[in-house]
Amino acid sequence: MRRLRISRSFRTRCLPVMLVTLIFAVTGCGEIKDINHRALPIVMGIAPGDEKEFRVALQIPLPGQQQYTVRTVSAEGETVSQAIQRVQTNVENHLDLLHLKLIIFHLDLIKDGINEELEYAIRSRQIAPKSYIAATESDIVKLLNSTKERVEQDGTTFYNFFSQTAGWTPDISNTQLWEAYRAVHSSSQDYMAAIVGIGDDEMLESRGSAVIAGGKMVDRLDSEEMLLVNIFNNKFQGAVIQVLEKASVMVIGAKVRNVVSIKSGVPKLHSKLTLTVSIEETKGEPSPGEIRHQLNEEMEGRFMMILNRMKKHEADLFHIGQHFRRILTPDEMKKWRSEYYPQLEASIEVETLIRNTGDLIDQ
Amino acid sequence: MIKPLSLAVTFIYIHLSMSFFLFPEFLLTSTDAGFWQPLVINALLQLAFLLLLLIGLRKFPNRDAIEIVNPMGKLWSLILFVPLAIQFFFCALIMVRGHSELVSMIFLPLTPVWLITLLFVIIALYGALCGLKTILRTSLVISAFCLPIICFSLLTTAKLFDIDNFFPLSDGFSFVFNRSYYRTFTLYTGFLFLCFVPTVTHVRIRWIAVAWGGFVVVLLFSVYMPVLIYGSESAATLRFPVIAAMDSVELPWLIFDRITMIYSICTMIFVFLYISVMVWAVGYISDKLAPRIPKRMMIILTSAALFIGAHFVKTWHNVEQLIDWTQPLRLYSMTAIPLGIFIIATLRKGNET
Amino acid sequence: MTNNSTGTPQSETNKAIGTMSTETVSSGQNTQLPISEQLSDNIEYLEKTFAGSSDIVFKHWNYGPELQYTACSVYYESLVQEDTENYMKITLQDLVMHEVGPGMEATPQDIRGFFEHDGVSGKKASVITDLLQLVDHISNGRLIIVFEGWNKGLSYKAQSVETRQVSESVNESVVQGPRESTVENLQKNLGLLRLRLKTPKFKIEMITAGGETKTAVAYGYIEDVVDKEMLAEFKNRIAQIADLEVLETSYIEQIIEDSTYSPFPQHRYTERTDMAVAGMLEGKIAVLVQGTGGILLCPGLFTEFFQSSEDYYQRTVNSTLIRWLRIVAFLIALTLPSVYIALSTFHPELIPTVLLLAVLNAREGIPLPAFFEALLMEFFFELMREAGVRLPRPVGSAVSIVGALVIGDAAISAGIASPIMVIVVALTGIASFSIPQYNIAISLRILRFPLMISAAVMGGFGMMICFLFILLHLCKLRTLGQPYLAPLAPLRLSELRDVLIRVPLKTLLRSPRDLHKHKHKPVK
Repeated sequence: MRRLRISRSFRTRCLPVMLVTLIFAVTGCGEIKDINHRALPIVMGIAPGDEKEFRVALQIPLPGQQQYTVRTVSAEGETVSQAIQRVQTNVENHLDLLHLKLIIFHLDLIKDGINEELEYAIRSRQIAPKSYIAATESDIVKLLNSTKERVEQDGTTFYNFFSQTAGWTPDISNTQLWEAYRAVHSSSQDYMAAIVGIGDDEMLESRGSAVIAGGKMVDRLDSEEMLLVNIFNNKFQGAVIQVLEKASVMVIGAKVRNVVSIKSGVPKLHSKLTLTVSIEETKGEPSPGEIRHQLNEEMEGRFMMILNRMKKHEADLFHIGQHFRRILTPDEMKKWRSEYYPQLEASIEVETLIRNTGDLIDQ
Repeated sequence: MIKPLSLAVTFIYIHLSMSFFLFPEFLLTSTDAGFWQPLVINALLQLAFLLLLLIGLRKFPNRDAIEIVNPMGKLWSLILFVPLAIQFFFCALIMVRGHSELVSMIFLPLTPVWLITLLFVIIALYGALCGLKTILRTSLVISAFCLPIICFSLLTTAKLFDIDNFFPLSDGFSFVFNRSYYRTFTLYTGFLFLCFVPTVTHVRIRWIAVAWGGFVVVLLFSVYMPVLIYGSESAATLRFPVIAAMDSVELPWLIFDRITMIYSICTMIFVFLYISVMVWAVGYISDKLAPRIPKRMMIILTSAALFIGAHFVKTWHNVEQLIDWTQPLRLYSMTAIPLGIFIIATLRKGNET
Repeated sequence: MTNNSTGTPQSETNKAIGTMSTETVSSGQNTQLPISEQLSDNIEYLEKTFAGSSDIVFKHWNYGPELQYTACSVYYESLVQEDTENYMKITLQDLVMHEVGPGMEATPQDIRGFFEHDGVSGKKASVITDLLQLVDHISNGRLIIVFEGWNKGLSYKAQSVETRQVSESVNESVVQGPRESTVENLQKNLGLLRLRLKTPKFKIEMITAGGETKTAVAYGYIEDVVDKEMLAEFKNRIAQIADLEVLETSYIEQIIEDSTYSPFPQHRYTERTDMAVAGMLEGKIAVLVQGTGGILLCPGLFTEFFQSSEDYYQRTVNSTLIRWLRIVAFLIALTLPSVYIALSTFHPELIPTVLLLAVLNAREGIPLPAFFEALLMEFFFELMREAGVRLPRPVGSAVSIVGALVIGDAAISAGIASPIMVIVVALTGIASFSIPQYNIAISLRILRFPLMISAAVMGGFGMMICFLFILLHLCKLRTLGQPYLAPLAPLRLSELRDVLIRVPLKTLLRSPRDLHKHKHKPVK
């Protein structure tokens, strides 16, 4: 057997490798946080505080023996991040907002303006811009506490309420954080936030939605109005039951076509909404023509009503300004909300197509 | 098919590595609307100089730029290539420091920044010592992995596009007066490494031109993607528009919740290879101009200098300042070197015939 | 005096094409010791050389009219076990039949004349002139006869030792296809190869290793297919074994490989003759060593480690999908534990929320951080794997049950490991078993640990850095002058037909088999 001799080149190559490995091992271990030492809240509530500016409540699932438990922790602070820091002090795990799915603002806060809170949310990389935002009139701590059992059974209950693949319907607004942030700087895109409260079975219940322009709440919509706004903003997915006096139809599809123009400084908009429906339930025996006529009238009336209200508040909920981007210059676009939008002359034409009448033949 | 593909891919990623993180921010703050204008103008400028350079190099196949210029006099080599070496060094420094900061912000907030910088420098060192051929091969293999992931991540955001945000089309030429616009030139000087490639592999102009086209398309996409989602005003306020835009997309059918991490990692790999190429280029230039210093030693020295230099650049603001200070050098390299090589090559060819 | 150190029949082999009868018995020494005409001198020398061995036999014969002439046969009893052939008798009988008249009246002159002029003898005999060569022949299992009055000796091939039969390969089994595997006898193995490659272009060259073993090493290639420069480089390198003791083919691999410290193997290893032949048809060089059944195929490119011979016995679509499965298995085996560590420790945002809650629960109460837990479980698994190799068969099943219980159930119940970790480790192990070549599976096992460490220190970023290092190393690696990652990098599309997909056999077979002539660096 030959005698073992470590060659010099091997030694000179080995040494730096070992040094580097040591350096990494010693200094690089600051980041390690095991997953069971992290607290990953899923819902956050922000409300005006009693003593300080903000009160933040976090609903945190904590690992347990068999099943995780849900705890609601809240704290107050001058800024949102300070409040969260206070919460961290009281929680034994490291708080990570990485899996935050829903942010609930208190209506009082929205009335004052939430632009800065939105900027905080986007600035901190932890909160994903695709989390949903909502509003509530009830006390956020109570809201989060009372849903504790339901969340323990299914951790993503809140998220499913707004998610398009789960329980969302187009008559709830499911605004995401990025859409809200977009409105902070955009000249022509405002949004609405769903107002939720605690329902009978201790889960969320929709109570209309708040229209937010310039970060402040300016108006309140009910579910039928929300449906129309959602259709206009292409957030239409699947079927929604629309009740008329004579029949109930399921809206299968909706398409909007807009024609915009500017004449002597007055913007004009002509929209054509094509609804494709199928009949669900009838009362009496209305003819298809009647149903269509009824639906068209209702839609048109609703649209004009909402639009006029929005024009008063200078809130471009239907994102009409977007269509005018091809015509206006950037400087003019900056003045869209203040100068052009209130003078908008809009008209809408709704056309309904009854694709089928369900499993029964219409006589 | 063999070597031109890896060179073309290297060309693409050398430019894209910069465009992922620093570039969109500069471009979006330089003008309010019509972002395609500064982009296209810069790209066309780059194409012009690129073609000049390549045509100049083609007159002497298998000779790199220094070998072409040297017979005209050592002075010309020094005038042209010493600033180039310095510019490569600063490019690498900006990339190292900028991306260490980035990594620290995105991935590892608690790790000391010098450790991350050290990692960057070590990999650059290893890559540069392995040589350009190895880097070319590695880039091909990595692109096979990473480009599909990157394309996929970018394309998923198409769900949220609002085409109207593309308009208004133009904001005049006001961007020329904006400092941010000049910072975008950092992107376009990457092609100068092609000066030294002919000894390693054959350069085919058609492939490089196609690569240029591909890179411009991806660039346009990566700039317009946050604009189409967020609107130009909001997009300009974001530090990392592409990442924020990607984070806004919801993909319930995908295993992962947020794919930005994977995207960031894939693009970061390209940054490493870019820095390796820069360090290698510095070593190569010094090897040709001052053959007495062994090439390995120069590469190790350059890497050490990078590490030390990164120490002096302390904040993000300093990074931006550094970019502003090296601006004249950058513009000089981008214009003088292709011109110089083209003219000298033509003169020599004229003398020979 | 002819200075033929390899003996006359050997030179015939060199000239003729495709014969396989003789073994190489060249001595590496330059000095010569001619056989003397005095029998006693020769015997004295041989006795001195073989003193101390009790299985050497010196048999003295007397022959000729009135039994006046003497001869002596010398052989190892352990090598020449069967005594049925009496070589002396055969020698004389040949003479009787061919030259001399009836009666046992052979004389040394007859013998000398007969054999020096290549008379036709019943059993093939070599004529030896050198005493040292005589010693070599005896060591190789031949029977030698020296005659009084003749300064040459005769050497007969008389070896008969019990060896293993050609049987099914233990380590590389296939569902469909030949099962023939090599044995320990070099000539038999070469014979098996020759049966599959019935072409004179299949060359087999022999060299002898040095030291005390003087093992015969043979390497074969197909003349028009193999790359000439690569072959020259190979010959250069394998000449080094002339001073070394070689016991197994893997010794040759370790002597001629480009990078000793690289975790990646640079040559392929097989026990199946069909794989060896397929390799040679692609331009590889096959190396065989006397005394072992392993065949080394040089050089081995990275993509070839994912090919098994069964790929070609299945149809295109099946093979392609299975190959993708193997590539995925490779990636899993390399990265799964590190991905788990990185995700759970650094990037919990990548895990879907529902899964995250389950993982949270699973990891609660585990005393070790994810990295050490992973390390521990991997270590257990490696222990089990090593133990499994050494197990005597009757104990095998019992130990595997114990192993499964220890690693799986008990660790979880005791709270040392989380169920997810056990799944990860088990999946990694299974994935690494599905890779056809054993030596690259070992390199996976090695590389897994730096990846885990880098993932534990810096998460996804660290993993990426480690990957980059590995990739740069792979791209720099060369094997016998060829780039290791060919045909992926440098990209050669025409050779990609067999890497990620397996092109239909009709296309694969009809194309010309000439390799690309690629430039390679001279090795320092």
